[in-house]
Amino acid sequence: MAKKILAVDDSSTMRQLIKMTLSRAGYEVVEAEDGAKALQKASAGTFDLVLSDINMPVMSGIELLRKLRALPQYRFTPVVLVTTESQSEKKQEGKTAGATGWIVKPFEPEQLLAVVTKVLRS
Amino acid sequence: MELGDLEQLQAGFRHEAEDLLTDLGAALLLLELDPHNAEVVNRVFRAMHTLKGSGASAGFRRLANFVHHVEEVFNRIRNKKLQATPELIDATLKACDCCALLLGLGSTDDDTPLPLETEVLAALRPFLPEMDKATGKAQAATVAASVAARYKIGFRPNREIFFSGTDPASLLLELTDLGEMEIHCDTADLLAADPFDPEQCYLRWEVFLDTKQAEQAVRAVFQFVEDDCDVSIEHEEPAASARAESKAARFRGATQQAFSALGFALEQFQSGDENLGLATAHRAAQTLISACKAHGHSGATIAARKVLEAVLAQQVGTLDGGWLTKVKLLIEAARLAVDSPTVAEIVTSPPRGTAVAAEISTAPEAATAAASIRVDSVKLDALMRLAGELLVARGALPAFADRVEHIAGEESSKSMAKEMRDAGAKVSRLADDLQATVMSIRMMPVRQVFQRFPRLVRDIARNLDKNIELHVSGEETELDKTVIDAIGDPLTHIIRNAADHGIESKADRVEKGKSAIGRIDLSAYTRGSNVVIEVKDDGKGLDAEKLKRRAVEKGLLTEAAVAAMDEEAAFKIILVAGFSTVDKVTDLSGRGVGMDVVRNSVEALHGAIRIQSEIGKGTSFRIELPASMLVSKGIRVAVSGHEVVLPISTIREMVKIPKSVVRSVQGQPIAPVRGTVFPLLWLAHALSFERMEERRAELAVAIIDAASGPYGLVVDHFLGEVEVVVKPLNGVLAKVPEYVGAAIMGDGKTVLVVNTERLFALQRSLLTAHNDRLVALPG
Repeated sequence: MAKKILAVDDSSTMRQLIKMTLSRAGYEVVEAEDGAKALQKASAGTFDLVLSDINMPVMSGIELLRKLRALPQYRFTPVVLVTTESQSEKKQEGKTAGATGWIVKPFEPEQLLAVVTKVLRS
Repeated sequence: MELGDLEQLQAGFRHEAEDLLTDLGAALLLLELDPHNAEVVNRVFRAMHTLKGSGASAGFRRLANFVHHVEEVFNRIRNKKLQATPELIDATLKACDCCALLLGLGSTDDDTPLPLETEVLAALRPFLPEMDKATGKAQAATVAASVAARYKIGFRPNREIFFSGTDPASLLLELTDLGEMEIHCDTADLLAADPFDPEQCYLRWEVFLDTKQAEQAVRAVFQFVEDDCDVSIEHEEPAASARAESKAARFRGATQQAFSALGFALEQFQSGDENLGLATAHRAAQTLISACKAHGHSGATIAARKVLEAVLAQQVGTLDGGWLTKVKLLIEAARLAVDSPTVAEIVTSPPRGTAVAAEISTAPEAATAAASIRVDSVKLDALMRLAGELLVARGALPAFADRVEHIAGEESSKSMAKEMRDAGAKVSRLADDLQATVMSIRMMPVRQVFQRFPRLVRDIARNLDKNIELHVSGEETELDKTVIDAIGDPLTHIIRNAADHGIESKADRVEKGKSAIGRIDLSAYTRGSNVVIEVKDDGKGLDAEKLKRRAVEKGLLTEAAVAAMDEEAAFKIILVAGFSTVDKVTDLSGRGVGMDVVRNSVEALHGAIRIQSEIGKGTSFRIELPASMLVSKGIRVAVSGHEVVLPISTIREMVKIPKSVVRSVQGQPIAPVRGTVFPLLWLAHALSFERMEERRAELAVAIIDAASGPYGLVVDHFLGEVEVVVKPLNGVLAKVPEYVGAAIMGDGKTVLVVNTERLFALQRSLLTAHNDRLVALPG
């Protein structure tokens, strides 16, 4: 069974890039455009990995991460944050909230694939 | 990523960026009204942030770099270190315009700054903190090397680092984004390891990084792994030797290393360690890509990507016997690409003029606008469902045919006929719904056009030191995409005219006892199958007598002609080409071009304009347009034994009048209809048909609301209302102005649709040419 990944970003371009890269590598990608929608989708199903942007309307990626970690089925699910270089303080915040890793925007599709492959393997 | 993917991604980003820029513009106007609203500041910041991040990801590097500076400014506003002043909003709005230009440039490698880019960055510089001014300047004037710093980074991961899911190589890769670097790997521990544990990390690295980024950015790379490794970052004066080492030599060194790693990987693969070999190849290919990218060698980057793609394909398990040969060829190709000079090195790009830059920047945008249409997914779902149902319903028909064949004798043909009729009715109902849905996909809310006007009005008001409020309503009203695309320009002219000439200066308004704040109302609403767009200002209004005088002075109309005009006809003088009521040519309007564009565009859309105005109270422009260009209602009429269609949108009413009331004034037949006198035009004559002898005492007349004024169109008979799909004419017929297109009737017959909007004006201009004299606009 293909591993299921939840891609959370308010930018349709980023979601498109993530979906394009990962579905080609055989993963099943579900998109959500903000933290609240992601939480809804995450609660309704199960995912092997959550990739989330930080700065989003309605609910930020950090808040989503905290809420996910509070759900029993997501306590150990890898959550990778997608950040930009200007948000180094956010990275720390994300780590404290329980993020598994991060990817810096902009990234190459192969970088994303490498991180995802690794996180899902370990 | 494949090339088609990148194009798709870029097209997607263009759409997203357009939305973001629109939202940004709207948010900035809100921010100007309420500079301390944190929610709005955040909205602005987020839009910029997305524009930057997604732009960079989709390959719009220049756009991302530019937005970065603007984002810095708003980061300071967000942190309350700066206030959103009108000057700052001005500069930021210009920055949005600049973003649109850069978006048009796409993923270019050309770094020549656009004039607007330089202007905006200069305007923003006072708002940037000291540290960023340096980079800002570097961006604008391409003073590069002066601010670069060299860091010596010691990176010693803990042995157990792999257990936290961290790959040291990914950190090193991340560092390559910051600048150029030289990496030394210390393998002493690895060689000394006994016994060797493959799950431990024995390597240490020393990195020399040349970067323009602040130390903080370097530190941020290691932030997540601080606990899992020992990192030291020292600022270093660039050594003379390091400087002497040319960029090209470093590139050669890096690529050579990557190639030998690839060779090693293939050996591993061949000797049976397939997974290990592939992993090594994967990493080596990644290194090669980064090296080529850092060197700005796009040809080699593409070649290196192909190697990585081949490795990835093999890794995900699509085992291919010929893979080894293929990948070896790809590696050879990459080696050749690396050895060939970069494009930038051979072609010295000539300095480019502003005009050329602007041309290039608009072209791709126009192309995307024409080629794609964004659709609400709900509408698409409905379409899919209908198509499915239609297929099912259609499937029932052959089954019926079978039954008719086999059991024709047993079942009464009457009941079968009924069933078939029911099935047919269902198919046609579905087809109707399907058509309606397809049509609705073409329908878009006028918001798409309206959203540009708050900015326009604000800019004009600021330029002319006026206070103007724009009130918008009915943004949800839907119009066909063709109409939406075409209505922007005429509306811009009308609104600009209202803000510039309609609304008086603050002092004048107060003197007249009006509020100092002028008001423009922009509204849209549906009326039958048409959509009305109205622009109303509370300014000084149009002076019919003055307009008439001016038209005569300019030699556009004769004394006699203007004397016969009623008020509305006089107002419409402002739509005539070459007419302008303002002596002083302002920056914004008043050049006498523009308002005639309004008339032409609206006519081209088969719409009609009405102008109402009262001196001292204001002016209103009312544009009525067919909501959809595809299916429209028409009136079938008979004329000289032919059948044609008149578009219903231009018909005010249809009447029968006694022939005896027709009079002739200076050769122009006229007739009164309910107290108003209309000029008459015989359709047969206008279309050059043979006019039949009229024995009837009554004339069938359609009163047409043309932009040039109403007139009566005399036909033989009205045959009834019809819904038609109008197709534009092609070939020879396309140039015949008397027709707008051909209508396909329900029975498949094709009938020509008359251009009632222009028919009268066409006849008049023929007459004018004949008689060589000025003729009045009909009033």
